[in-house]
Amino acid sequence: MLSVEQFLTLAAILFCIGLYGALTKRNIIIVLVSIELMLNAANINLLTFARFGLVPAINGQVFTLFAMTIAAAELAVGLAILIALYRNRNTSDVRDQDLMKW
Amino acid sequence: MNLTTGFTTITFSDVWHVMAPELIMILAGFAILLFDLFVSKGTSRRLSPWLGVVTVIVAIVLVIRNFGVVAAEGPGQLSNMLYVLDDYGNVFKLIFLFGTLFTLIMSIDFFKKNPLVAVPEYTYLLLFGTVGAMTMASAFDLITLFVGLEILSISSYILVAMRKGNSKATEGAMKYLVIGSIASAFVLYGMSFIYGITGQTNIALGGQMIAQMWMEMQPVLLLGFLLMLVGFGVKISLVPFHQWAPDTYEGAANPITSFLAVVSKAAGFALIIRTFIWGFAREFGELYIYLAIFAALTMIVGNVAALAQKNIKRLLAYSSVAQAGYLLIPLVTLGKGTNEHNIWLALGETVFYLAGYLFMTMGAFAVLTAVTREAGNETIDAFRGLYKRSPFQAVAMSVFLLSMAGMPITAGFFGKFYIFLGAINTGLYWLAALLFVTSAIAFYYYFGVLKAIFAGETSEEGTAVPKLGLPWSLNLIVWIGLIGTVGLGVFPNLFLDVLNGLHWFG
Repeated sequence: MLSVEQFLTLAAILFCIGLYGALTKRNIIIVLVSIELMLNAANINLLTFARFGLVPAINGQVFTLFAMTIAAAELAVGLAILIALYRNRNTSDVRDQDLMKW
Repeated sequence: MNLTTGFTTITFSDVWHVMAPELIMILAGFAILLFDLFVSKGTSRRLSPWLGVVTVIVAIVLVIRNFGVVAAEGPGQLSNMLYVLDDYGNVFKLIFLFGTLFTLIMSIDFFKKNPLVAVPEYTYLLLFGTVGAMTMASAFDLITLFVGLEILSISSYILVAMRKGNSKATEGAMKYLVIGSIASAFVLYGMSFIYGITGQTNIALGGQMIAQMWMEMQPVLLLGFLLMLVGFGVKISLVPFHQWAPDTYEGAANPITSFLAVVSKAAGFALIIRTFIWGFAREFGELYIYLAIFAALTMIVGNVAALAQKNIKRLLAYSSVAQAGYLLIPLVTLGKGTNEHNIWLALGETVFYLAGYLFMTMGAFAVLTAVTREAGNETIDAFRGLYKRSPFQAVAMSVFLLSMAGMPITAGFFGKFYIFLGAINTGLYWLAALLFVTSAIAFYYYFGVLKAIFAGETSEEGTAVPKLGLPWSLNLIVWIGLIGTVGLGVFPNLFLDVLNGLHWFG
């Protein structure tokens, strides 16, 4: 039987990996995937609390469903903007996004 | 505010009773979407923004009617307080709706000059984004709140990227999307901890549980609070998280920039104030210091960074970052005591400043659109000699800039003055002093623009200076902005009396 701490640690590790990836990776697609990791870490947290929390309740699972839908929409828009960006600049490298600075 | 247990059926009339303005906006948005899908390619889409304008006006009427409903029957609520109808939400909704109305009117001119823009998409995304903002003002549950936040954010990402073939627009949109999504993840992660400790997604019930659990669970609750604050901070561009704002503002089309600066920011404040007042009311005496630090940093960095700007849109972006710092002060003052009197005062200060901010920002962007288009660039030099070319625009722009700087007899002055008084009254002298000092810095860069408007020469003596015209739609916005900015500055009491008579939370 897994304990609450293990689930929460998993979520925390996923969140940190996601944040690290989003801040350091060069390819925008990987950045978007990393953001997805962060959102999923939050989902694991919500599910853990909904099942094993101090006050278990169904709200957390409902919240997760909403969060998953929103994350999917966000990523879809992200990829659409990436396509527009690629058409304009012919690159998907984060370091080339330097038309505007300061 | 009672909660019922068990399940109740929701009928259409229940929904209509509580969220009539939102429903109208959603229905009109879908109508525009379907109209675009089913009519032939050759048909003109010019009608869409007008449909949007009519919808927003109807929604404004419905919101004003809702003030009466709250006064007569008390606050309404939907499905166990998922969504509430109170005057706090109504006031913010009016600000959003007027912001969207002005944005749409400005867009009509933008469409004429940019025939490639997909007009129907632009219009319904603007409507849906506003619905998201209205949801943020009325949500009383973490789930509704998060959904509203994301509806607004996702619509704004697309709206920023809407200028076809413009590299700056897509770059600004991508930066906004990446930082905004990271912020959403932070908000969600923070909410998950708050939910985990309290077992509630309702903000008021969660607040009660937080008060009970505060002693034993303080580290986790504090972590949740800070994660949420970071996430919300990105949305209202507080200082360590403001870097997306100048880039996105520069990349976006002018009407969208003003939408982001006014509606998106006001929505963020509506969300933050409601969540923190209801969720952390009893602990706010310990938590306000984090908000105070963010407010101080935002005022300093926003104003200092604006000094170095050559691009007028980036200058206004940094100025709007600084305004977020001023706007945070009323919330910070609640740390010195969250009794009803203090809350009403703080809300009044925030809403007054936001109303003034709405008028001056919209007006400034309308003038900016005409001037930068004629000059072909967005530098401050575009304003050189504006007084010779168009005295009306020069005077109007000066009023807006002086109002942002906080010159007397403008809305900006009284907004800042009330916030200053509020900070003094609650004993936050250092924050009040900082507000004063950073406003003084702000005068410097606003005067840079004023100097260009009045002193700059574009042509030799004797040659005729070409006059700069203003399309009717921009002209309308400039007039509304002027009347609003000066009106709120000369007769602030009229608006304050209205605000004092509100049933904020019922």
